[in-house]
Amino acid sequence: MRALTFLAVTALAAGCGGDDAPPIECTIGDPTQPIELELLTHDGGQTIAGLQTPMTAVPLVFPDQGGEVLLIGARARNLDACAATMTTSLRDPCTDEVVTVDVRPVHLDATADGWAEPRPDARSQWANLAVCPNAAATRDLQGQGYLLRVVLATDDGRSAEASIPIVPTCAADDITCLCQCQAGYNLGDECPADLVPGTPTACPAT
Amino acid sequence: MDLQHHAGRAPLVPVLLSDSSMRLACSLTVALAFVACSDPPEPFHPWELEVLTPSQGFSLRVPAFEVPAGHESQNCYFVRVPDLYAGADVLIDQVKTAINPGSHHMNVFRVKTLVDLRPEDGVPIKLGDYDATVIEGADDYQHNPCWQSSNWADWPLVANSQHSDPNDPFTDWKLPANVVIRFQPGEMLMVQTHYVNTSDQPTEYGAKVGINLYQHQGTGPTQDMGTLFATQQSIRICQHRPSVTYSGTCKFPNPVTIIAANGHFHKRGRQFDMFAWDGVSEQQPPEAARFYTSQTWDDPPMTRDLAVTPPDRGGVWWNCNYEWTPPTEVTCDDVNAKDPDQAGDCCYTFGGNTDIGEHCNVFLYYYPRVDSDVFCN
Repeated sequence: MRALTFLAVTALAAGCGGDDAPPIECTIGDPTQPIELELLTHDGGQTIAGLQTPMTAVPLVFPDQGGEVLLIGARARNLDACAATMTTSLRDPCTDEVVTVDVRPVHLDATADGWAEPRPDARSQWANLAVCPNAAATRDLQGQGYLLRVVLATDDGRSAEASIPIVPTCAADDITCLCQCQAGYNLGDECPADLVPGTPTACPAT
Repeated sequence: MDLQHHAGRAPLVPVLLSDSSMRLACSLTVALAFVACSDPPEPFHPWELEVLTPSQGFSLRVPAFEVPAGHESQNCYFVRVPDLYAGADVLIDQVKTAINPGSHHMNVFRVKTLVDLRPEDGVPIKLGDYDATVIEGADDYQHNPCWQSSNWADWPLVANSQHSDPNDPFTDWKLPANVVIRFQPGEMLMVQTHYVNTSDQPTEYGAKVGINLYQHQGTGPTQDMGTLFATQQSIRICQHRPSVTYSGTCKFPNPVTIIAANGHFHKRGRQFDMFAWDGVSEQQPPEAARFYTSQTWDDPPMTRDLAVTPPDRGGVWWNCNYEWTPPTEVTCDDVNAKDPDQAGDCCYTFGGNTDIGEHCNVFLYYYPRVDSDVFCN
């Protein structure tokens, strides 16, 4: 009787909690196998793209709190996709310095092909890599090559990583982005109207 | 409790009472005493802050205003730095604030690029002796420009205080010797107040803020103080993954000494840490590099008298750790309605309202400022 009562109370509590949504699929692929990881980019609108080609132009996006960020996603399998942590960094290959790091919990949704990836409209599940402004920049932060690295870790201690050189890129008509991503930009500077995106150049001579 | 020090209290007047009135009065007294014993109000003495003469600096006073119970208020005041000495730069080496309880934050920024938050759109007001304008955000956190942080994303931080203890409403911050905040006369500042009048951060004595900026009196060489303001984008704290941590980094443009810091989050915030960061590693710095910890969301410590020197080309690393709790003033339906992902998991996302939104902000002060203050989004 006590067991029945417990079950009834549990069922009632579950019902009252509004937990009648279909169960979320957390285990994606075979967790006994190594985690496989691919990278995605997001233009802040509707466009999601795989990131496989070195020196791909990755759009810089204006976020709610100002500045310019890269939205980088993890596409993965063989993991618990509901309890992952994503560490994303951008490194200057000319100096080997890290420009910025973003660490966040992510929840990846199952896809029809057996992988998991962030929902396009869920920005919090994408790394919001804060690139501009950066007062320490020694060369332009957009239109130049930088090394992107992502480490995806799960609570059971497993992880996978991927890295690729990319070109953070402002839209050609986004003067604020072009201005704030220039080397030498000082916070609050007035921005000239004649800025152009430019093209990647070799590392400056030291 | 010293009643005569309570703002807005009626004076105590002796009166003669009949027997029946006396019995009623005694009953009321006993009842009031019971109420008082079961829920004693915190003592609060209205603060006094000296008004500075131009040779001493300048004083800004946000006039007292009321915040309705269960509401929040965010106001943006615009005021120009006065000309204290024949057009010369104004050098400040001490900031003293006095803030009535219930304050969530008080920030001062230098106004730069104008987007949707404009001084000329404000209503005229006086901040002490100085002409100003104010845009009252009230608790319209979804639409009013005083709540939209992208409007001041390139406005360098000047100073801030999150301290409004009823027992000690003052923050007296003296900069290190010969370190100054440099203003140009006529420079536009924005003083932003955020008051919360809810059960967990009550504004029982009205909202009121005073700021004294003391002019540097020395004649020798000085170094300018720089500021670093950083925020973590797109945070999210959900019921079904209740314990989460977000981390970020921000670099300095030149070798610096960090002199003060405070972290800012809302009701789900459990621990805010800052570390000196080498600017090379992608992992959290070692414990020995930690220089700031806060476990308090409603009156976080402002650590002063620091002398932290991150490695050259380095910066700061921060962690914001949260634990999901239900809202206290609104419902999860309200929280869900604000969630851009519409996940239906009572997820708190970025936002200024403390009951329905979350923050992860770094306020940090250093010297020398060489070319630029620092903002990392």
